[in-house]
Amino acid sequence: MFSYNFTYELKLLVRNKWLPMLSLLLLISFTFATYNGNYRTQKRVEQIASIESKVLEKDANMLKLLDSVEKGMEVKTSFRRIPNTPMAIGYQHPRAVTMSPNSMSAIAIGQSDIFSDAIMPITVDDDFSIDFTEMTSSVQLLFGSFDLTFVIIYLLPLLIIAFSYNILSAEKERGALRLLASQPISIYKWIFQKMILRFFWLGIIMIIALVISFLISGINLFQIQFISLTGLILVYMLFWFSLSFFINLVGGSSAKNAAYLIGLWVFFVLLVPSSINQIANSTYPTPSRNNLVNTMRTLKVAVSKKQDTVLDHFLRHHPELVAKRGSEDYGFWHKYMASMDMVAVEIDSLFSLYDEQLKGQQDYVNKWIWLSPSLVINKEMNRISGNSTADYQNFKNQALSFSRHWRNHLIFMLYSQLPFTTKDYDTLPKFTYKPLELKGIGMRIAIQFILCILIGLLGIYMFKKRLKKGHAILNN
Amino acid sequence: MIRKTIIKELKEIFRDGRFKFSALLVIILIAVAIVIGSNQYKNTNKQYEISQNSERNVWENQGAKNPHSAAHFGTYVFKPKNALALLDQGVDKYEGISIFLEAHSRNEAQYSAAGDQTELSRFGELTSDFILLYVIPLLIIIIGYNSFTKEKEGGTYVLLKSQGISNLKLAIAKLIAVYIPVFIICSVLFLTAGIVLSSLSNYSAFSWDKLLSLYLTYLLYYLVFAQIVLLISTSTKRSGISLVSALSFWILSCFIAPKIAANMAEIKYPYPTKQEFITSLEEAKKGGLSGHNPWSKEAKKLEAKLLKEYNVRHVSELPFNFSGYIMQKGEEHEAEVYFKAYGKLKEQFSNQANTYKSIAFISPFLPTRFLSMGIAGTDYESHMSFAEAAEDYRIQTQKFLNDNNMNNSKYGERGYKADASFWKTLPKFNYTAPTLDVILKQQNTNMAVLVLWVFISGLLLFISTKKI
Repeated sequence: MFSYNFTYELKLLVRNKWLPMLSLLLLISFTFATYNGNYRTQKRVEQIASIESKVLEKDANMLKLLDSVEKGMEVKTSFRRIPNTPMAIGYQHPRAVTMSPNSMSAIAIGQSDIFSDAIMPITVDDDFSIDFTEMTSSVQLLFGSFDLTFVIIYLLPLLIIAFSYNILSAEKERGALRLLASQPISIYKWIFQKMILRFFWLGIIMIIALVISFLISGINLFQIQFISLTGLILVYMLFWFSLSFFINLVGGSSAKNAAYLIGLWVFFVLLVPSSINQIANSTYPTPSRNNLVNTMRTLKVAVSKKQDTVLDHFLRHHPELVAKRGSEDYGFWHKYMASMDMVAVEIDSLFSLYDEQLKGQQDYVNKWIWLSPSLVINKEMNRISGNSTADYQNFKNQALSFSRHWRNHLIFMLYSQLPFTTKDYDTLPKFTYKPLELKGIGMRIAIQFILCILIGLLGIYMFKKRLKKGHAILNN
Repeated sequence: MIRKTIIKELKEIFRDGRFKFSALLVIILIAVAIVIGSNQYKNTNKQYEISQNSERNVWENQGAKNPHSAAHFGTYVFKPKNALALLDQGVDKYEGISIFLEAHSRNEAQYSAAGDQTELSRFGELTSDFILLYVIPLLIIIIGYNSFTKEKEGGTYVLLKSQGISNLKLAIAKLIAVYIPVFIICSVLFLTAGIVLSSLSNYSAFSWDKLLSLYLTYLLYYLVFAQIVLLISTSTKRSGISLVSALSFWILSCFIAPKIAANMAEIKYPYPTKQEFITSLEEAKKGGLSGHNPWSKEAKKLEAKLLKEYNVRHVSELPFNFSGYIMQKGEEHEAEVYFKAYGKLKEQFSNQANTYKSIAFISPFLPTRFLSMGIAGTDYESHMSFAEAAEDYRIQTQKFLNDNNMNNSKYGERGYKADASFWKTLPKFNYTAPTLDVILKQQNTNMAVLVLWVFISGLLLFISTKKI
């Protein structure tokens, strides 16, 4: 019976143009989405390359100038620009602190349109003044991008719904169910076979569309993340097929089924995510940024009024920086960096509150994420792409810690009254981004798979219960 | 006959379980959105007042100081929250809320709410605009998808025709019946919002005209949807197909079209990345005058010109302090550089806006979205208007400070400090949002496109009734 069903179904699909239409739709949307993702990735790669090459070029000029100064030659540059002091280096020759997109970055724009992946902190920058936001038109941020994540989370379920909402009801409405009932197969087994076949064909089409869109955008297919991605999409598809199977078994007319399934779509894709987001934001509200500004400003005024004691205070806390030659050599920069340090210490606890609240939100979301498979897939795809909030938070932390390291390195030279020489160039701190580890995707897929089976079993159970009650399938 | 049909349709709609369920859901969502929104509004506004006063306090009490030190110390301005943001948050959460105004640099607004939230916030929030723009159209679909198909499937269409009603009258009656529930929900929502907003204190920014225009915009938007849903219902034979087609239209116009438009706009008219923008600004500033570099070619040129004009041999003989003068000239040059760079950015945005408009023919959502956030004062243009006002204020402040330096200190004098009371004489920053007619003028294309949608969908519905 299975092979009959298989051939019949295939003939049906090919004849009513569903398969070619679905293939075309999937292919176009996958290709366009991957193209968009790849476009952004390329733009980022180019930006990072350009920044890094500019830094190298600037460094080369700086070294040349420094060499001339060291050899006692006359240079035309204004004295402020001569790179022979640690502060001139720290102020005018910042390092490029960048996070290169990974090989799967094109699958999800994620947060890459909000946050920048390249900053150049200078010594007078503190954690407060480094801006990590990217310059994107806010309308674009509002609408979001047509990327692969969008296609898979929003559109793919709709295609599945359109492809399977009326498997049983159409037969009923067409009157073919009576014919079928005369065949030696149980109704749910028959629907199950039909569903599995449709899942099988759509799965194959999806994989082909994915491969083609990757090839067109020139993304490497031979990587483990590609398999993870395919697994995630397949299990997400299976979730929607199992819902559809359930509704087919317990639902009624085609229109009713469609309405129920769309209701579920609205629930899982729109309502659950926005509700969880709303609750997370209300439970862990971000403290007012304006308040932070006010506090920081008040502190700065207070510190600037204590200018004469600031340096003493600073050196008391940093005895390692006390110069051997005595305090009479301390100038503008010494005082400036000392005041900065004082403000930073005071404001640190307030500042870390933002990260704590964000972490609170993130943990809350992670706790409730299983309420909607769309959220699970969204999270995993963002993780694979390396563009999730966690990735940008990771970059931010590493960048800030580098910025502090850079500042301290030069402050040490400043207080030790050391000049900056060509020999010191090689000892300047360098930044390398360490990406987050990608673990646990297989587990997620397995949990989702079990969820699908449970939905299917629940459908069969409810269907059988109805049969027992003497509910005639053919008549309702 | 029209009246009877309307009454019968309404009875059917109000009896339908799906309508009851979804209408209830919409009402709950609206209540949640208004409660959350008005609380958020109250807090934000309170904080805004506090911040503004605190910052002014900091500025006024910075003590005796060199005016240029004060210029570097700078000042912050804060963006007020617009009253109608309660109904449409627009791009507010993606734009910064405070701008640091300092010497030599025009800074971007900092601290967007989205920057402090998880990636989930990109899925959307339970705000009024989410309900107005996405959920209510869905409600229209649920009410109207089977308006005609149920008559065809149930065989009642022939009975109806035997009563002597024309197809057009039938369509008009059904349209009115589908529209009435939505009209009621929408009116209640806007009335509630109006009452909430006008009762909150310090709601100076709230105006009933704007609320009314917003209300009319949404009524037109829903009319388009009602007409299209009926159009689909007249043109299909089965309710299932009608529902799936209407939903496809909803998804295409509310979800897919905006994203496609956004990507096309980005690819065709890309924004520079932040680092690119910073680098290009540095390049543009490089060759020009800078108050901190009196040795540059440009500075020497200016010096020579001044010496000739005042007929003196050295800048110290000028009737004012040359350092203050060159600082101001440098500031003017830098302001010009920023003006040009932001001008380019604005041009790029208006090109992007045109791309959005060109996609609006497949989506009534797009013109409504822009019109709505325009009127609510939460669109990009509103943000730019604030940022530009802040920049004007920055330029004024710099002149105010440099003039003090120029007229009160001597050339080469070290340690000049302006009196501690001087800072109080700087005028306060004042920003008023654009009025309704300015906004409507800005939005005339979007208004025209929306009205066009009403006419075309109405016309198509009219034509389709001939072929039922």
